[in-house]
Amino acid sequence: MNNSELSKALLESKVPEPPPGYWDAFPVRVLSQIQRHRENEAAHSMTAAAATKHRWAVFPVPRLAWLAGACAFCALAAFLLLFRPGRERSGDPQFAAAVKCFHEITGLFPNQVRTVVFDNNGPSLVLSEEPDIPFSQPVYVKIAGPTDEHRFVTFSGQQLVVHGETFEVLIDGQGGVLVVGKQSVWSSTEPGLQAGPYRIEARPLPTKS
Amino acid sequence: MPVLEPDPSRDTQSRMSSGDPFESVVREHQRMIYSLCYRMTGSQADAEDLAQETFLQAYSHWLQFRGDAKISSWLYRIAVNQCLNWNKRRTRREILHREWSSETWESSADLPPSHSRVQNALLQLHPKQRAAVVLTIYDGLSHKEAAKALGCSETTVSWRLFAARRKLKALLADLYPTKAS
Repeated sequence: MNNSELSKALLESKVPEPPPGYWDAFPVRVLSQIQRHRENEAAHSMTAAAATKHRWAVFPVPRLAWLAGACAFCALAAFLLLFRPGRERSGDPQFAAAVKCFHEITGLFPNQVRTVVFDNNGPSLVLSEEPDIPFSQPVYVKIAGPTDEHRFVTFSGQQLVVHGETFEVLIDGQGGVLVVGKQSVWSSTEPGLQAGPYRIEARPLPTKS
Repeated sequence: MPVLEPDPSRDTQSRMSSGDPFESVVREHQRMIYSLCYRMTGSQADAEDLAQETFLQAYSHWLQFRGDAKISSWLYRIAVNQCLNWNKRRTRREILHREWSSETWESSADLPPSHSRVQNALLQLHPKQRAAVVLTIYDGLSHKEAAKALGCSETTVSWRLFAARRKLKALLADLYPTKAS
């Protein structure tokens, strides 16, 4: 099926037509709902105004003083949360460990590393026979299935296999990462989207300075 | 599509009067918004509720509407957000799928059998991908216009469409069996 056949199939599916008179009645229903909302809002704002007046009457401290106190408390809480001693600054320890390990391995096998696979038994390597892998931007990829999780460091254009499914890793000109499987596509521009049964996370590795 | 200039000097009471421009906005766009909501939900009842909510939202933000934009684009954006929020709230999706096939409007029975296949396939897409398909394929918006309605970049729309087409082709391959790859 090509794109035009797909579009044709989609367009042939019509929206069911409502009963006769529906479209004449719809605007009337909308406008009467608006009218009701307006009346409710008016009643609510009158009640709220009365309640506010009563509340500030009970607490005689001026409103500005209360607000200033609340702002100061929030600022203090935020400061303590952000700068508390011993706060961990590196986001993902697995990622940091993978970066370190990858740089060590590429130092040992320059231009030979296709992929480094991280699992429960530690890192394992997929190497080329000859040092013929051109240098390109390395990518960290995490593919989590329903029961387990697989982590890799690889390069654009390399293929990864998880539970028999092959994923191709690609980097576009702006540094965006795409992980393309047979049934799913994951893009770093929309990291929240789930790719089939897998949760995928991928990002370029910082290059060694 | 006529563009109505909002008039901030008019108060809400005068807007509710007979011949109100907002009523003509509803009349003019009701089918478009209802269709979008139906494609997004697969349910006539929910589409009706969401279309009403869309116009209520539009009315409450009527003064903020910028006259340089098309009303239809503005309504699309509100409707898409309504549908995406509806999807987040909805926890009974499987029940919805079952309900859909047995809904009672007589006109549904007149539709060809492939209709339910297509609508079910649409419902299996991620809601943001579905919105991209509805806006570009059904409503004929350009990627730029769809990106504006969805609040994302054109590239993101393109990727959502790519992923959506890939999945829809897999789900609907047998509608074109002779050419299926």
